[in-house]
Amino acid sequence: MEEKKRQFLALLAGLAQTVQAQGAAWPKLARRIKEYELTAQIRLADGSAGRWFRFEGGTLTSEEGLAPDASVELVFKTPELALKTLRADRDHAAYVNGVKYHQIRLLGEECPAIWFDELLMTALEAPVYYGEAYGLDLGNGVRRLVNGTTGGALFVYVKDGKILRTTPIDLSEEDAPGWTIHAHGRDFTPPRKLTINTHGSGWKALVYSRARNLHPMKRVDWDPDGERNPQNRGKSGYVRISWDEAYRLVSGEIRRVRMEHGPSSVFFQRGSHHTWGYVGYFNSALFRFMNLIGATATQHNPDSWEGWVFGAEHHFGHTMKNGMPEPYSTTEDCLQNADMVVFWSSDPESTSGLYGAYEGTIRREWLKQLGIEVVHIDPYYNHTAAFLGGKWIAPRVGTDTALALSLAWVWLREGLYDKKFVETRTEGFDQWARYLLGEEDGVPKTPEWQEDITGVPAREARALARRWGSRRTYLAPGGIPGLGCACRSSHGTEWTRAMVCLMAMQGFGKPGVNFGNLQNGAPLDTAFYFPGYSDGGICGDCGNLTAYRDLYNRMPSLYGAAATMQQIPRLRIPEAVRDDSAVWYAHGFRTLQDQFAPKKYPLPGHSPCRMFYRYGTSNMGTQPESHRYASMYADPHLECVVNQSIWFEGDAKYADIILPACTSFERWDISEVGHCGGYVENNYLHNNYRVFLLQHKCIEPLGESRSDYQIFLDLAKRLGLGKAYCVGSTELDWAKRIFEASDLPRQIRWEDFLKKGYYVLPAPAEGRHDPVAYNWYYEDRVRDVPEASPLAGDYKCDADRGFQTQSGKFEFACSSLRKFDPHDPDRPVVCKYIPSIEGRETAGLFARYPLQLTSPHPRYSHHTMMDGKDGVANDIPCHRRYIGGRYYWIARMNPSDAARRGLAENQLVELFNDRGSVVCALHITGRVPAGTVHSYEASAVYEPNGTPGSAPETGGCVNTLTSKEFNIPKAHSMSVNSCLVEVRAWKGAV
Amino acid sequence: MKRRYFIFDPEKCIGCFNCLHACKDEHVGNDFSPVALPQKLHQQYWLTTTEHIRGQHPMVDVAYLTEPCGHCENAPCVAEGGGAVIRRPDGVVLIDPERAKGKGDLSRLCPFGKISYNEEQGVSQKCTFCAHLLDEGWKQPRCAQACPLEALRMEYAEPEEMARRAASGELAPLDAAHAACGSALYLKNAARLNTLFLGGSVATGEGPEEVCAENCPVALLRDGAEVQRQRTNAFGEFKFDGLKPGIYQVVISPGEMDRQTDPIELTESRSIGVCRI
Ligand code: SF4
Ligand code: SF4
Repeated sequence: MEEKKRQFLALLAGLAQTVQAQGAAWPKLARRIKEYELTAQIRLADGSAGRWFRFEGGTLTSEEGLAPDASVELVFKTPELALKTLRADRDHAAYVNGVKYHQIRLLGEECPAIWFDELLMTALEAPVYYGEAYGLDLGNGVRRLVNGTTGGALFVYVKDGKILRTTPIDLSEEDAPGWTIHAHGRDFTPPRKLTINTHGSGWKALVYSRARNLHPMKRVDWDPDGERNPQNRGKSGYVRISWDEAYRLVSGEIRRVRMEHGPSSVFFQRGSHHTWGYVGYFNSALFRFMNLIGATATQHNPDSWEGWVFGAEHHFGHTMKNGMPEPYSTTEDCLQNADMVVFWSSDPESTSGLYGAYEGTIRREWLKQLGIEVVHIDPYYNHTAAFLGGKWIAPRVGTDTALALSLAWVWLREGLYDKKFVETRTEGFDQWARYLLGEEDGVPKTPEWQEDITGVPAREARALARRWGSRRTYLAPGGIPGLGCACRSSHGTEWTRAMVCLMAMQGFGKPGVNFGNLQNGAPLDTAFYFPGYSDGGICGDCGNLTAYRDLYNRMPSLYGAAATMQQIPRLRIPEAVRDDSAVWYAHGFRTLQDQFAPKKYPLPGHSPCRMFYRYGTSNMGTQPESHRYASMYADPHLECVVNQSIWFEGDAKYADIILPACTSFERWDISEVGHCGGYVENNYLHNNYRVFLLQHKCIEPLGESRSDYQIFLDLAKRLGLGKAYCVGSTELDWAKRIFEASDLPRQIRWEDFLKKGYYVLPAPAEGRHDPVAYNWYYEDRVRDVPEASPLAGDYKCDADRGFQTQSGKFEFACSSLRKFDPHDPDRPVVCKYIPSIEGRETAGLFARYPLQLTSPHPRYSHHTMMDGKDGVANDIPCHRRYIGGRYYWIARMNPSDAARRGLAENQLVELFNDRGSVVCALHITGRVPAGTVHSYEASAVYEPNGTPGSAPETGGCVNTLTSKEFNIPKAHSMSVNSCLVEVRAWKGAV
Repeated sequence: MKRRYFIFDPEKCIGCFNCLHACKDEHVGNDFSPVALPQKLHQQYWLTTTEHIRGQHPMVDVAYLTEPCGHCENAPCVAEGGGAVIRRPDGVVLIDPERAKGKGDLSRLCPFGKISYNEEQGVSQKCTFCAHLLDEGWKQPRCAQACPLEALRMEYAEPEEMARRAASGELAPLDAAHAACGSALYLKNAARLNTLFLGGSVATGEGPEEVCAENCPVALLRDGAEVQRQRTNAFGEFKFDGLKPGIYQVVISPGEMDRQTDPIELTESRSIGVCRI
């Protein structure tokens, strides 16, 4: 026999011995061995060599040769392929290619076949899988492990299979040192720790929450073979069912609707964020499954970005980043060269930018130490203002653009702008200047003009304009910068446009003049690849996300692509379900013109949705006019509603079948702290260190809960897609494949990474920090910032020169908009002030509802994560108030408005308008001006005091009150900060 | 002999409540007897963070006070606890769960409300300084370790040194009552929490010519005597801080002639609005 075959047989003999020996050593493995009684065969395709494995009564017997009774077979075309892939350090490219080209085949029924494959592979690493040989042993039975959250990384101390504690990570001697910035004769270097924010620090309570879904459940009066009773969703109770039953029901319904209506009849929706980790993140495990079954996806509105995508992009591109400005080295430039920082609708102390923990807080503390002047423009005296102090300017909600235009008017009249930059590096300024000066509409955009609209005294607008126009100023529009409450309002598009136009007048890109607030742009090594979650993790969909750019050639995969292009716009899900139709304009990542193509649902020849697969979080807390979503569940078009959720909250209470998912603490995963990838390119620049996490499986899943990956794999097995779903990998294998796809193996060995759980990348040497954002543009050079977008083909002249606009320059008058519709009153060619569709200017409505509600992203929770769920955030008196035995959401009001209505501190009040009413605890505070009510969005608790979809809502979902209108008609974007309400004492029960 | 102190700096506290999360994370569901039995998940707080808002729109500021148990030197709870509350040589005051059981609700023993009764465990409880961790060599208790800017810190120091730092004005007790009990909780930048401000702005010119009066000298008088002086900022604003309640007058001196306000009774921080000159 040839040498290779001998080696093959020896390998198989070794495998059998490994399973036997490790099974004897680890009881958990012994239990797995007991799961099936069968004979499995591993052989070469030509039958010339092989070995069988017989499992009987929990023992394995195995011999060389072929077994005629084998029900599972693992077949290799060549012995070489087996030698490369049947080993702990599997060659994944060889395996995936082997599977793709039928050189490796796993035959037999899905469940036993995958079980056998997993048994072999996990036995090879039994100490890790079954003996928990990872983490730091602290003695006394305590191990220190590592995990990640959307609010930062954690050490997780585990004892007796339980989480003892979770703490932020203090770095050790062996971790790489931090960078240093020199500014104003001082040295600034970050402390030796990684921060977590409030929604990173309360996880233990959420893991052990009483609100966990611990067992699969079925709604009592939903019978797939009889009455489905959709009208009772949200009302009828649940019975516990087994996983087998749950899988049978869900896979049965998936099969049925696909065969009865067509594949796209399964519709799925995820939340905006998920428990952290790139294997388990929504666009990874979930998308992989849904793409396999050809389900209709939810088209997300660019939530949080909204106005940037449909507004600012047209002036300077950045489509791949949803219209957000460059962040590079702005931390350093700001500290060294700026005289002033203007925070405009920017509260990074609340929002952490995006996944940024309190890393930026440390850097803003330096701003304070250096005494750099700050201004905050926000209708709420926000937490960043509270921390930094400085001048607070509070325009009426939704009127910020008028204030911005008056600044431009002063600059224009007084010559306080960078004329050379405007002349040589921009286009269309004259057209905008005509509008500013009133030559177009007879209304000069003066400080006096804006005072009537915004309520900001004209003299203060003038003072701000003169100060800003004569000093080197950083502008932070929104938290990152980018985002910001003001962009999520009626015509928030114009606000984002005004922000970038102001900075263009000031010549962004010269020292001390740029976008930023020290939340982003730390001097870290950007020439080092590690995927972000939008690279798609295990999804393998190269036609979607940003994998086509970053991950496709690094991580071998198969079967990733979506099997249908049909989508439903998130902001119109209820209408799409009810009417089987929707139209909208979606954002696209590739070119400025992507967003001009109208979209339709359903696609021709496609089935509309009949089965809804919902994945965590709450539409009622996060989506506008949210009673719509609760009412939608009673619609008979939805024949089956599945909700896969960690907690019993939000939409989960409206499902027919609840599948209990576990948290990231109960499964394996891998990630980089704070890194999104793709659409928020290099988002890790929020952090003071680049840190990669091997997220340890800290404890077994609680109750009967399972990881999302496991649930999808189990369902896939029952649909004949299990082998395609897992491609021979476990969750830990996938994590390892992501590790291998990154640049990390150059720095640390897998074994060491697995043991330690994190790795800190050395900071770039001094003098090697990235060039400052836009300095290339300011100086008309080839672009030198480390950014892979836009696509080379979307430059208008030479690649890497200029912006994506038609002229390649910053355009005050947008050619793209002129081409699309030069007369669009909602999105004119130059930035204008357009009165809100719901505000002081809507006189009739304003007479009835004279208070403007602003509902920014919350401070103590991350969308719905961390709120409710019986967690500790309930006890934060700035988050909820405990009244009469319940925790109520807070609404904030100026003392004069409260006095006028006879309302008192901590009183239960009803915020109401024509769309509904919400019960909140009243906090009377001078942090909001008269005429404004402030209450965060994204309560996780939806508790109608009666019929869902109409009764007063008592959980604090203020989105019950907000409008579903897009911020401009030809878009798909929220206008939730344009909302009029009245407030009265709540007369109902407490 | 060295003892353990808490130092809290409102200038660095961002009001994130990580300290509350950390205390709950450590003590809920964990039994660290004999240092402490498990804490309740809800409605029991071994430390509190409270928001202190001064003034209102358009002139407002915000600070927080985070307050764990002060582990007082002359602790009433030790004196009157009938042996259930002990003070260790390192200053840590602990309620012994064994001895406190059956003694009912001891919360009355703390004048600062830092003892609470846990009916689930049938025992009174309070902050333990995370003694079980400090004794294992932890450098900080949980709440302080989780604090982003180290607004809350534990220091292990000689009482004489702390007295010196207090005398130098770097540190201050929370108030007279805490000082009387020998509380080990000290504040830095205490003025952020226990003084008032009186602010306003100065404008000049009319109509489209109206501007904020920048760099205008403004003085604050008390009993006719000048107590503070400053110049307005670019927005014409002044803000006299660190004040005690009382009757004040503001004098604005744009040049040719002083303007003096009527006497202002200051009971809470506020802006007197726009003064036109
Ligand atoms: S953790 Fe620190 S900053 Fe946060 S509230 Fe507590 S004391 Fe303040
Ligand atoms: S020292 Fe420990 S017990 Fe005391 S408040 Fe801080 S975390 Fe809680």
